[in-house]
Amino acid sequence: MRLSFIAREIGGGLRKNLTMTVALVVSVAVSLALLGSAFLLGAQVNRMKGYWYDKVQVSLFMCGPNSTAINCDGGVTDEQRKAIYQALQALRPTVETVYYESSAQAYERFKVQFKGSALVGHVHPEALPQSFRVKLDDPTHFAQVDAAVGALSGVENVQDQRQLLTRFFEILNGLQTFALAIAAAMLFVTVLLVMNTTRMAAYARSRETSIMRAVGAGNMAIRLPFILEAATAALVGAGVASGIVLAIKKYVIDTRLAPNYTFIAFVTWDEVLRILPLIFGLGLGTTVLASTLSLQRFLKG
Amino acid sequence: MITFDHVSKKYKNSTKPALEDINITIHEGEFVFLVGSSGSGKSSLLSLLDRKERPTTGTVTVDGVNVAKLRNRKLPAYRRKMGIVFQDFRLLEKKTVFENVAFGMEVLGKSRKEIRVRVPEVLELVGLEGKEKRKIGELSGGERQRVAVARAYVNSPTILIADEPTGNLDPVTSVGIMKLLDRINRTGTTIIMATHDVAIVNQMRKRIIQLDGGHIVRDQERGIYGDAGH
Repeated sequence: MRLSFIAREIGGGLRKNLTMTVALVVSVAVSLALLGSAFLLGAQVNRMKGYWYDKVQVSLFMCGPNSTAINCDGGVTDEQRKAIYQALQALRPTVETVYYESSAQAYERFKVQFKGSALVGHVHPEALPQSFRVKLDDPTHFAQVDAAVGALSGVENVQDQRQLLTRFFEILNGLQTFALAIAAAMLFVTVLLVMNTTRMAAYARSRETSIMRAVGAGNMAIRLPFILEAATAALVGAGVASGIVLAIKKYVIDTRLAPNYTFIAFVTWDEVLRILPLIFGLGLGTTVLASTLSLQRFLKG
Repeated sequence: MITFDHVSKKYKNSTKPALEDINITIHEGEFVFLVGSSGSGKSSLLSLLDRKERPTTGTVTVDGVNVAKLRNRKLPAYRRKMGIVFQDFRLLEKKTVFENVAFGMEVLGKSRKEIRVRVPEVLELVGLEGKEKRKIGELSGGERQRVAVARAYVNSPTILIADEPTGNLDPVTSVGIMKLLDRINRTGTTIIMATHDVAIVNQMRKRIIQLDGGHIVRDQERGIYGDAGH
């Protein structure tokens, strides 16, 4: 069949069925936008995991003058600190690097992290404990480190920062699962809508199809216009969904979040662009499949 | 050549067969009337021919091909040998005369150039020259049937099947359609026409196959309707 003929048939079909077409486009757009957002969230979680797990793994806080922990008796002494350091060094190769942070350095870092916050004015350098920042060969080896140095005197607390982050990531993962579930439900609704729309279109044009069959048009020639109609609606919907995902990156992440949360690594354009083919592929795939299936039953023989 | 060889057709939900032991041979270029009252089996016979249905027993052969055994993907090519004219015209009301006839070529992927040459030719043959741009809604019944015949004939089928083509037309208009079918028949196209229009059958003096209750009760050259048994 000639392209111009098919194009005219599709255009006519979509116009004849305008309200259903609009419903289809909106439904496809919403479900795919949700799906895209879920993928975006997933990419964001992965990126943050990589960034944070790589940076900080175990923080060993030492006693300050006012500490009340069991192993504390006033501030940590130089000997105690040396003993702790040696105990950490003895754990090589589980322990990869040990980095000492004084109260003054902690304060500097604090000032940068909470820049612009009123907190900075109220916190004095002495209030922040000295610490060893320990990087492990494998972040899951925390228990080993805790067992070796957790009970030494002068140690207030050994913190597995990965665990803090894990809880945070669990929340983000939960959000992603939630978004995916809604997207799946919406996609299901979209599939039903496509099947119905296709069936209605085929019914409305049963005269055309009966003529086509009578003059000997092939099965594909009879079905293609209907499938392409659904695919066209899906394409527009996927375009809108992609626009929404790109807008989230540009106007929410880049414009609003990134300048305010400089210590968080946000998804890059590369990662965002990688989501777009998924949106188009999934949108087109499901619609074409759904319309083909519904025609299978409607346009027999 | 079309042959029905001991063909019977029984539909699933009926006790009586629609066709029983039908034997017919139709040669190329013949003009055959298929007559009989409603429910006599005319439509069943035609639907076996374009493979809307398959016979329960027996074989229908068209140009050496066993129609029932045709694979589905070969069906479109098979149907292109035939043009079909329906009683209800089955035209696209919102399209013009030209577009309706062109539709039959377009769905088969014919080029625009072929269409521009062929459609006016056929419209002239059916006597609709000058009415190419009319919408179907503006046409009389006879004109509509001419459009339908043009569409059925536009791809030059070797067999033209017409199912009660004059069923919705007045006698004078019917005569016009019959002249048209006769003209097409003279180009070598086989024509099989189901009808129960006595006047027309008698006027044309063509071969008559009469069905009654699924049986052939008469198969006669240059026959007259209503003189069965004489």
